Amino acid sequence: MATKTIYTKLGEKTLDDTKLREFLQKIIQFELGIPGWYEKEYSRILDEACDEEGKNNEV
Amino acid sequence: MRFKSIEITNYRQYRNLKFSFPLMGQYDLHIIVGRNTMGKTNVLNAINWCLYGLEPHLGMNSKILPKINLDAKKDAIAAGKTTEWITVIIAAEDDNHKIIFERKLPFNLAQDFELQDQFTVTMSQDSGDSLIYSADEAKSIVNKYMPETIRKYFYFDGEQLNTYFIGDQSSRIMDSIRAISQVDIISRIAQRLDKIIKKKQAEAGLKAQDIGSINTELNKIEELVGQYKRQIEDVKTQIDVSNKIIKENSEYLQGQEDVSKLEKKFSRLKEEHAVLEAEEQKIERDLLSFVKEYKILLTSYPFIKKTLDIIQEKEEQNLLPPNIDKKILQDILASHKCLICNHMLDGNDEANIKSLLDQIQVSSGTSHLLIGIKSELERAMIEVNEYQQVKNALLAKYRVAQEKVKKSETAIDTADKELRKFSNKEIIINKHKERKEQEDLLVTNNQKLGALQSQLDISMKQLSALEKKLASAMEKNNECARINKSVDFLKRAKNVAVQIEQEMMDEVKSQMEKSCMKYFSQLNWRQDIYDRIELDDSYQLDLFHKEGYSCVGTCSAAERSLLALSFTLALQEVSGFNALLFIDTPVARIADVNRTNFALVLKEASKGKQIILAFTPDEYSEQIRNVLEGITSTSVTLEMDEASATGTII
Repeated sequence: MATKTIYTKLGEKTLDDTKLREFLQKIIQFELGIPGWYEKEYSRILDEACDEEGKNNEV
Repeated sequence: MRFKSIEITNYRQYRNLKFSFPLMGQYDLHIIVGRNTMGKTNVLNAINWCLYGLEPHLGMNSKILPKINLDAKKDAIAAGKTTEWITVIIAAEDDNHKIIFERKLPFNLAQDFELQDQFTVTMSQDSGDSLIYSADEAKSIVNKYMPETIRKYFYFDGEQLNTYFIGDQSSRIMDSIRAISQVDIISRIAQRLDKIIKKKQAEAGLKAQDIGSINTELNKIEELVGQYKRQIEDVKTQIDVSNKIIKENSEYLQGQEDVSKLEKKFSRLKEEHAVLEAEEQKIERDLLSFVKEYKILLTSYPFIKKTLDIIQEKEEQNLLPPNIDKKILQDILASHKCLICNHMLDGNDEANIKSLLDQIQVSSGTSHLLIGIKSELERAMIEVNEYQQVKNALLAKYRVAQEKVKKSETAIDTADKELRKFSNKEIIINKHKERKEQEDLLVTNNQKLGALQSQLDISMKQLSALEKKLASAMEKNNECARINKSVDFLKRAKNVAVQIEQEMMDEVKSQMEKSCMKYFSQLNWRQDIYDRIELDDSYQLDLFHKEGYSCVGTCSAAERSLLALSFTLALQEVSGFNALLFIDTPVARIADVNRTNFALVLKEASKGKQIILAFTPDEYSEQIRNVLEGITSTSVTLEMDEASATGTII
């Protein structure tokens, strides 16, 4: 239920920023899962988001 | 998540005990009844020990005892075992996933001490396989479902409920709210994003390059290179000009004598001529003075010659006495011996000397005069005889000098004639001069060109190195820009997380206040005297009387217990956290009048949440039984194994 609230609020605050929403959704999913080395995973998710942004900029 | 069973082996008074908690009907409510000392609290300890490795509800007497069941220990020793195992296994389920929490502790029977315990979590996967986690991973799973920091909200002792809000519990409550409402996830995300932002900012700072200073340095070197190149071009132009002038002048002067050399030669000849003339004049002067000197001698020559002839004639006629010293002859006669050879004189000798003395006495004056001038006359004769020879020599020398002067005059005339031939004498001189100057300039410029070329090479190398440095700096700056872009993105993400966190905390706080008040009103028999519950910014709970004053500090112990229970139920309701609630002696400090309320509230709560209540027989009073009997999923009574001397529970 709390997770649903988080996602709802996230959706409201990132209406016009899909990339940011997807990034934070992935981070939340990671935090809800079995904890691991967060920096590595955060960086991976960030790189994914930035790479896609780079591709979009190129287009 | 709900517990399906708890299996306790060799733990404290439990030799081998298994509680099963099946869901029967709509109420997930489970009752354990046991007298004091029967081990109800140790069920709570067993759960805490299994999940967290802690026994928070252990009495002072039990703390000094080992965990191993004494009967089990005795039997194991009797059976010759060296180690006996203490285990608590909690089987749970969450969304059809089976989770088994298991803590095992080996007990060394020979040495009588506990070894290191082992904790594992086994989770079934969607694929049907199971994964076993241990150490920190296992601990993380426990914290995901039932965080250790807020374990007291899941498993607690009712007897301690009245101290729930005493002391500085606000931070614990706030942490609890954050954890149970899962705001801590967002909070953690915000913190972690912040850490990454700082790290990336530091990384960007390291990569940031001072392109400005490199460019300044580069411009300086470029300017220097430009200067060298211009100077080289100038020098090359000068060299070309020099070569051209040298070539043109050489072509012009080809076959033409160097007039300046001729002029120099003319000047030299003039100087030599002057010297030769001076020499000739000197010889001439010498000759004249020689002739003048001999003129008297030559004039006297006939008289000298005649005088000498007379003397010679007189001498031949012996008319002139010999030039003998008369005194010596007289001394010889007196001593009768020759004073020159010591020869003794005889009579004849003395007679001759006497005769000679007689002759000398006769013409000595004339003789002396003639003999006296004879040598002078002879010397004059010699000089006269040499005159011609010396004169000839001087004349020859004079003629040679005259010849030299004449030759010199001829050479001067020739040079003069040659010089007079050149109508463009000045031009030739200038051309020669100019060619010489340009030749000198060419040497200087070639040296200068070499030096400039060398400096240019050095500067070009520096320029190349700086260009590489600039390219690298630009690359790093691009990297820096990429990092900064990521930082901006992360900052936006963090801001969203912080906003969500704040909103959720505000909402959760508001819901908590309402929910807590709702449960408290249901549980408390004095429903009409309290107005509201408030949580301040630091999550300190306060209860307000209808008259408007804060009264949590003046509540009775029973009311504080109900408040704590209300808070726990509210926390679980608001958070929707799907964890069970285990309360040991839940109504120990609650008056009979409230027990019905309590049972009714928990009955309702158990519709969506697993609740395990461990009562003493006294607690499990008629009022409670009236509400709960018939609707509970399980009900267990703990009894002592009377055969056991150590009081093992069966």
